[in-house]
Amino acid sequence: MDYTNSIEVHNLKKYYKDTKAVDGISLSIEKGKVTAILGPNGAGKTTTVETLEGLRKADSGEIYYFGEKIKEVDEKIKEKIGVQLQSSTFLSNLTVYETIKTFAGLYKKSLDVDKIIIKFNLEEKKKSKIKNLSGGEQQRVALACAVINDPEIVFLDEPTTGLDPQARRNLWTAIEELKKDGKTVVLTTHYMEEAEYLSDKIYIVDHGKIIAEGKVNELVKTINMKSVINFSVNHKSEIFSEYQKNEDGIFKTETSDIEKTLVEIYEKARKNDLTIENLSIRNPNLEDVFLHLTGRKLRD
Amino acid sequence: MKNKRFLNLIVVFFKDTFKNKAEVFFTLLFPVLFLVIFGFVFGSMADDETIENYTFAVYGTSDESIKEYFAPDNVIFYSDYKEMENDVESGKIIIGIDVSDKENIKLIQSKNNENVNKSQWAVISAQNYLKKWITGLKENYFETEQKKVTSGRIQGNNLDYVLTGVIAFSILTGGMFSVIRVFGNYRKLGVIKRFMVAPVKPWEFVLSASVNKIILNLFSVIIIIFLGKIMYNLNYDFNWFLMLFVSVSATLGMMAVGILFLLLFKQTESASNAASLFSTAMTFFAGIYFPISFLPNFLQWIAYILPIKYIGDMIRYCAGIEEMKLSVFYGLNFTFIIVGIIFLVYASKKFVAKEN
Repeated sequence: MDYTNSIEVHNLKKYYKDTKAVDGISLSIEKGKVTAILGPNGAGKTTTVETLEGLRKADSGEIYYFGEKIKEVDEKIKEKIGVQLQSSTFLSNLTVYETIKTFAGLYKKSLDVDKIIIKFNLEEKKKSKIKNLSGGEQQRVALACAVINDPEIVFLDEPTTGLDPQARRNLWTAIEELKKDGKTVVLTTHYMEEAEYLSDKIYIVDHGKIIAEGKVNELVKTINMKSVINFSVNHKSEIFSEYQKNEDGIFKTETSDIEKTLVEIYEKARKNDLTIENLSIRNPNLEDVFLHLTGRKLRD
Repeated sequence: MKNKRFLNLIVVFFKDTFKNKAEVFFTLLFPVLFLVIFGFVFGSMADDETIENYTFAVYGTSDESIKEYFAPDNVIFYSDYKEMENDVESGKIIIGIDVSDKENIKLIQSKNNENVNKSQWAVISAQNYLKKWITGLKENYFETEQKKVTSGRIQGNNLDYVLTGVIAFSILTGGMFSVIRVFGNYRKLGVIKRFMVAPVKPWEFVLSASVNKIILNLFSVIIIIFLGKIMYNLNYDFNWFLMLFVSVSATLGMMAVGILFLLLFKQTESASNAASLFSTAMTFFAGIYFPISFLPNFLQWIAYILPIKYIGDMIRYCAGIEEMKLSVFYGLNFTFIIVGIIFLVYASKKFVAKEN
């Protein structure tokens, strides 16, 4: 069957006693692309993906996998998806090799365990027990297990939470590899830079609802926010009096045309024999989009 | 395919168990430790229960013929009454006998908390020997033929009773704590969830975990039986088929108890602590290490509501040291099996299948 969206979700609802965890979410997960579901903790990201993974039962809504409407995530679908859960551990006494081999044995089709170990840079840790691995290494094992069945769709639920910057970068590289391999990736995260860096499309979720969707630049454009340029100069001068200046002597200006404004600043400085120092440019980002939409910061 | 996945899961659980030092200790070595401790304690008690080990002191006669009435090497003559009294008080001698007045023979008994039974038994023995000595009754005047009364196929002793209790306790802990680990800890850590996003069916997970624990319990039972035979030359004579049956059914029954604790307590730690408390209570009140008749009358009813009592009884039946109606034996086994299966099915829905 031909399909452009690997997964489609219409009006998905999942209510708990006193919480509307998912309150009418609709998604289109495009084949071969990375789709990020971004939102603060408790927004309903994990409930949404765990429903798509078959771990939770939706109260209502329609789910389409590979163009076909499904009643439940059955064995057939599970053969075609790979999952890295937000908070799961493996049997801690098994080695890395044994763990990946175990998961390879659970599917009809699986990739070569040794090749996967090499792909995720786990050769040195092959014989180490899971409990002796660092957070980053454990996440790489989790990713290896998620792709051992050569899935069409890979779910990554907050894959870099708790990792140091280096480990996070390494994992991003691994996720980029998945995209190159043509996998459809569903990524949930509360790190906006992660969503910006990795995803083709973003859904911003808050209080169980989607509050915005689109590509990063499209979302940023919707808020009509200007870029901010900060700088200082090497000598005291009144030449930049038109710009705001703080106590530390840093000038600040907002612009919708960064190039033009930068040329103006440097031209003025050159004419007055001044040197521009500590120049920084801050473009509007997803954090601003979230702030604009909810009045809160993403990590509040 | 399904068989491959199922076997794969069983192998994985075995690997995880055998690499977990704590679990190996509690499943396999802990019962062996019990075996050694109880064997040592009850084995030495059995040795002490012969009259040859008692030492009697006699004051007031030099008539060597008295020795014939006592075990020959266990009579010491004292010429100083005070000295004899001191030796009794110090525990060096268990019974001091003053026969200076044959009309009024006086026994001085050494008695403390540790030797109550031994001392009492020695007094009775001494009285009998003295009666014979005074009346000149010869040993062969009475002929006693001993008819051993057995409650099973074979004559068991204290140690047989205790060690079958160790087997019962091993099955109890193996079954009960294993499900708390699998359905409690694995669920808490997210291990079950990880398996459930793969094409593993809840029943495959539960069955493979259960098979693993049943086989482990069988290992444990076999180790205890063979070590008991080798180390203590025990009398029991197992019907292996019935024993295998009991091991499986009792493990399933004890798994049901473990699941019950998980259902009663939300936190795994609380369930585990409650299970520990329950197993300790069962040790004392179920008559697995000593007969229920040792308990005060008002406490004896407790044993009948504790499942391990019935496991102990069934194991003793299999070992040939206790009798049991076959209908009761199979009735108990099938009860354990049915209850175990019902609870495991429920647990697979409650703890393993998708959240509603």
